[in-house]
Amino acid sequence: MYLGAAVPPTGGSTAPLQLPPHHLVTHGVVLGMTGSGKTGLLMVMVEEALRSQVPVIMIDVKGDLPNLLLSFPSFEPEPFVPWVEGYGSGDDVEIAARAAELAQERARQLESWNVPLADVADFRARTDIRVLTPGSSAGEPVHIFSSLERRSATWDADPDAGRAALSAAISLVLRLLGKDPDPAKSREHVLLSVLAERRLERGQSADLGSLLEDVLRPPIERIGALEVNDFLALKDRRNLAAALNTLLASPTFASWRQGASLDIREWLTPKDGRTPAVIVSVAHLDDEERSLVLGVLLEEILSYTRSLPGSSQLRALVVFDEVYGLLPPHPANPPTKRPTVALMKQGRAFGIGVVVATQNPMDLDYRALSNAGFWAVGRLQTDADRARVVESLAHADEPGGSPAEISNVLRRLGPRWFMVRDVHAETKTALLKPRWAMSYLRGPMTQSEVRRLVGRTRLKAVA
Amino acid sequence: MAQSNLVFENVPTPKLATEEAYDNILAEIVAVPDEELTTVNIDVVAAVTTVIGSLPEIKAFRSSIEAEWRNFDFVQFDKLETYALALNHAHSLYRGAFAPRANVIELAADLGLMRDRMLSNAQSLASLGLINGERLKTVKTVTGYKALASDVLTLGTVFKEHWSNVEGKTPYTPAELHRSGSAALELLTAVGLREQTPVLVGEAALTRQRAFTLFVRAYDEARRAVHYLRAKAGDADRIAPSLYAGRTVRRRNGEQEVIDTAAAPNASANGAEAAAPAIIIDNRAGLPVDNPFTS
Repeated sequence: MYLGAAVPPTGGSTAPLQLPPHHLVTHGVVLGMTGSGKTGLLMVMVEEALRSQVPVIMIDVKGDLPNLLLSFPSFEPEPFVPWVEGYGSGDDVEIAARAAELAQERARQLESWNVPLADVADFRARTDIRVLTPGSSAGEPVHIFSSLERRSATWDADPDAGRAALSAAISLVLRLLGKDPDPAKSREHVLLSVLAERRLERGQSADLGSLLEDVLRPPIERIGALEVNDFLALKDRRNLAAALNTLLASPTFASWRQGASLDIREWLTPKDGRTPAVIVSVAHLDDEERSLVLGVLLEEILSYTRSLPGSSQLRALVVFDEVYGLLPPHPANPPTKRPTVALMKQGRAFGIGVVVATQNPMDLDYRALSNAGFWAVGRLQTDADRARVVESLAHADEPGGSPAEISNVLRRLGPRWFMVRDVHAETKTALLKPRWAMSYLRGPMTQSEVRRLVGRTRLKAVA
Repeated sequence: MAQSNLVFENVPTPKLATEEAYDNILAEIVAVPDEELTTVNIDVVAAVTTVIGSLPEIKAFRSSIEAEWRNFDFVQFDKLETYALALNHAHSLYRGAFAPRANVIELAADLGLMRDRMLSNAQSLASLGLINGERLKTVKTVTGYKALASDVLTLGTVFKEHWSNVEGKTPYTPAELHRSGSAALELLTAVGLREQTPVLVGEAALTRQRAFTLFVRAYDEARRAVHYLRAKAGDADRIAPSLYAGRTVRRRNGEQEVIDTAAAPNASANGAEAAAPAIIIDNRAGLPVDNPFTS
């Protein structure tokens, strides 16, 4: 994985930084304040993983990652035109001029980083990029309740994993109903989980229509030690059933139940020799919905991971841009935390790498930080931020590797420079200037832009 | 009776040097193979101005070059000016394909004042025998925007040719002469834009890139020869400056770049923070790296 130019922290010769993909089975962390170039580095890592034929799932919180589709296999200005700021405003001359400038700059930069047009074209030809948008038809819709409504083989192979995925899906249903989604506190959650699990264990699907019936006329007598009526009174069950019915009848809710199943194995299987890049974009959701949807997704990724045979090679990479609030330190515990920490603890044995990026090391649970074997840290402004990472980056055997020297470097790093540490490498620390991304980093995309982008890609695929 | 600017526009003017140069070598431009194309990664107008301004001194080395290298390719050397002018025209066509129209009248008004001042100063210097007054007789004989730009370019060349005589006796400095050349080329470009019928951006870009390739190739050869001849004198960069001067990164085969972060203003600051990283980077890989540290 050609990430860019490396320089020893104490000075010396530049050299291309080539990260062997299997170094990422112990996961990566990318940190840096706003404007430090995190998203650019992340995009380069994604591009390089894909060039190494490693499938990638990208969790897009900010809306930047669909930029991967802007990796035009041409240095002509034309493909840039629809993505120039002000496009459609009528000033076509100005737009065309700006597109030409962007195309020229991209050609110049990629050439200077030794990434010829042929490599870009090859990358696009060998990569199958999908943008999935749960709860929206802007990209490909996802049946986010498929773990609930479409019975999978996970229930036979790993019932614990199936149960965790089910719990996450029910939390999301309750959130959409406006009820408490916490599995540890909500009675509705427990009731729906018990009813759904009963069906799934019997080889049936647990679609919401069937669950609604079960809520009104429970096929079981007790939940735990209590009778069903004592656990949740008929009046409350009727309310829950009415709410479920309203949800089922709602056209908005239909978008959550359409499209691709949450079938991670299928997502990561190459098609026609093309390496899959699956972008799950949740930028359009509010914080709670986002956390619940990603909880469901990450549980599915975890159960897929556990179903794999062991491997020392990188089988797939899960990239998490802007993980703020989704992997927080104790005691916060959003639905995303458990599966992410579990992936970072267990993924190594199965060849699944996780890379998380955020502005602030305080955003991350210590288990995520301590399990990461690859670090890329851009400029950090506060002493507290630096103190949190220097101990992990320090390496007394190498010149410039003392905590004080590293802290000093981090304080003064310029934009798009990172201090990297790779525990598997012979020389563990270096300064990294990431190469120019093949993808045009236009910035966050709106839903209508994603729709336009995915539509264009589909048209091209048809052509 | 004073002429108005509107009258200028309607007066037929002879074909401009840039246009003529372009037409003369169009076949050569078109013949540049795709695999030999050089990426246009510098400001074309600035590069053309630099080369036009350097040509009188570079040309003065022709006999020395001939004495050193019997097999030197003088065909390219002798056509360097043509390549430069042709590139300027190709650049006009390229910008004309899509760029916003510059305000020709405003540019011409400024350049007119510049020409009159330069001419007045040149005439005074000619009366003192410091420059050749014959060269000034063609100035201000034809009206029109192109002629105006041509006048300023001519005056700039006359000053440069007699620089050893006039240095310190004129209010102009080499930098001001350079600026006047740029302003003249800017007017030519703006007029070119207005006159050209729209052409496809892609086609214009490719033609410009071919013209740029010829231009850079010829100038590199000339520059290499000057550097060899003036190695001991150490003034080669002044005589034939790099077109890439001032850019952060220079990448040529066999050429290494050294970045001294201590030399950057941020690293030479004061106190404890300044004691921090000051490192020397030997850019052996030739990748476009800059200073890793900021203030």
